[in-house]
Amino acid sequence: MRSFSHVLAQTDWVALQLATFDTAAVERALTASTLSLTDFQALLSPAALPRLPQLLEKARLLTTQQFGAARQLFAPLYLSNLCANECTYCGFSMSQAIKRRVLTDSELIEEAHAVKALGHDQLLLVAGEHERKVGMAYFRQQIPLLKPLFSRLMLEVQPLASNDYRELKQLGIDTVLVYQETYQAQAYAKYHLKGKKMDMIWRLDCPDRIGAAGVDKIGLGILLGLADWRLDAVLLATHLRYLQQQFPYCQFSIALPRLRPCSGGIESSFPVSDRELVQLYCAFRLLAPEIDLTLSTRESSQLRDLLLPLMITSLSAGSKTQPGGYQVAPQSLQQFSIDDDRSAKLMAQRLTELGLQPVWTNWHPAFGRG
Amino acid sequence: MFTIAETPLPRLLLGSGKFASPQLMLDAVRASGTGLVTVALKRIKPGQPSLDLISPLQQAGVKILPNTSGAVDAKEAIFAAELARELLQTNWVKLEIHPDARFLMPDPEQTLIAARQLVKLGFVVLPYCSADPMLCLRLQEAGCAAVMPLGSAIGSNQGLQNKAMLEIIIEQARVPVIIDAGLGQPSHACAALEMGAAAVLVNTAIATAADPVQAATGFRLAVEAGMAARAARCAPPSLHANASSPIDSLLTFLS
Amino acid sequence: MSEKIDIYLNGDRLQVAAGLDLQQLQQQFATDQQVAIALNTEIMPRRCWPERVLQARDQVLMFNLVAGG
Repeated sequence: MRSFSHVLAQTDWVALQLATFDTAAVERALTASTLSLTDFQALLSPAALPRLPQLLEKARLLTTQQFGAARQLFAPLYLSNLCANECTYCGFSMSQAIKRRVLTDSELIEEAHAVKALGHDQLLLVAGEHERKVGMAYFRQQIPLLKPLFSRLMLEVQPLASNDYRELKQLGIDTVLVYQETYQAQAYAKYHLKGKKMDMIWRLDCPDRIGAAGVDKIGLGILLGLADWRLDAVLLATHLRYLQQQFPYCQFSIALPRLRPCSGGIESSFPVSDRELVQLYCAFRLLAPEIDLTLSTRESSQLRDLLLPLMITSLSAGSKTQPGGYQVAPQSLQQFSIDDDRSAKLMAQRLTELGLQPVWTNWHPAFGRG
Repeated sequence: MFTIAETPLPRLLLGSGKFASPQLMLDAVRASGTGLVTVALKRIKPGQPSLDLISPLQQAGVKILPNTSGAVDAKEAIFAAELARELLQTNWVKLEIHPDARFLMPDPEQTLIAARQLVKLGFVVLPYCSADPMLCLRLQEAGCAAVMPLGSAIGSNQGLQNKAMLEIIIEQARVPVIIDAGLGQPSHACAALEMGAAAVLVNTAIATAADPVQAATGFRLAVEAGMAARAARCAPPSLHANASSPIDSLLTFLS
Repeated sequence: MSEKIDIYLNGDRLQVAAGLDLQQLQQQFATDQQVAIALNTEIMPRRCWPERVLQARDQVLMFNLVAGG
């Protein structure tokens, strides 16, 4: 059966990497009503930089037309930092000598209530990869505890099997996030040294399995700083377009986290500047006006405030990136360091000041559905 | 004014979404001179106060038309319509079913199924649909009070992209044709009325304009201009610049 | 101290006093709001609310009108 790994295998990424674009190509991309992948690439090229003001204006227009002033707020809740993978960029990496923790039922409830008390109603469950201790058996038990407390439950854990996603949908998971980190095989192999995460194809084909299970929304992303960001971006765009064709009723979101300092972590060989990050978000907005673009608390409050009115439609706030971080064990090690540490309530206030509408609860109607 | 289910209404209808604030929405509603505003249904957050849309709109003298936005199939749309009927004590409903997450295209099969059922249940059904003449005929046959073919994709502001199809729909319709979705500028609304549509529904273009009140005014004037053009029966563009054509001369000679 | 029962309101599990009817539920959780109610997937006309007493594990959906569509 066809899946994205097959599509990627047939993609001439060398040609993509070598492609150059001139001003005319950028103009075409700026004025096109539906962007091709070539248009998207043109918007990422150096030739597009002088047109950044126009790029921003178009992104702002498309975002406003699609979303009005609404901006979705959510919080991550780390279930565990136990991990059987060795990823050189991550603080939870297997070889890191940190105190490992898996939240128990009662700890989870305590954390969940702490998150709710901050105002949140949309929860993103995150965990390191550990099939035995934090696998389906664990999720089966924990998700029903959380379902009555939050209007929307999202999951960001290791890639699972098709029938697992069908079951997760039944249990009440609305959205599954799985970020490829990088679509470039050589780079991928360099950063993922041990554990199941080394299996790039299993991860590449994960969104196909999520879509086939009928999950409402899929979150995609790349970790900027691991490899040539322009190539990763166009491959991510290719992935998005492919999935939108395969699963036309599915919604999508995209996140573009930048590598952040973490304990034992690496320095980036491919740093992405603020300007380039903005260019990237603009290009994705023009490519897909209908999707959510997320900016995490890894980025500064200054940058977040500037991008929110223009193209970011979904954001975490008041986040803690360690299991137990809200209540049970706030001193333990974070997965990555946070820059924007404003509380959720403060963030909501700030959104209002920016002329935006903070949305805590997005039922995504579900008339009569669970 | 035009008529739906014996109710006269101004020819500009408004959607309530995407405004920067509720006050701005009400100001735009007033500036537009509209008689009908569409609203959506949403589950409440228990214990949290929510904005009352109904009283201000009723005070502004507009009819509130609930839509079934969010429904992915006929079953959900019917459920939504019945909830709305209970809530507002109105049997009018704007039927919209768009499971397609990317382009929000209306589902013709589910819309037709829902329309038939809702008419049986006594609703005044205004169905949002693609600019498909055959589908509009079926919706009409099912007993819908109007048909609402799209001008172009929701929020795209592309205007009347399916002119040929819309003309056929207008030609064949026995119920009012309300062109909905994708109207981006007042000139699009003017063109729609000139073409023969009974009315237009506008949301994104007004809500997200830099000055929504001005935009609402613009659309109101454009609709009037379109109606004036229709009434005036201005000559359609001719292919050749003739002082008089040979045929006209002969006919004049023969008369 | 009156007996409490568990019900679900828009998916949230809530404890309410036994003997609470839909009208009281609306007044408590959607004060001064015009809403529509479905109880165990059945739409409840407003006139029935004072008569319909909640049972344990009842699933209530409460909707109001919002801008959008």
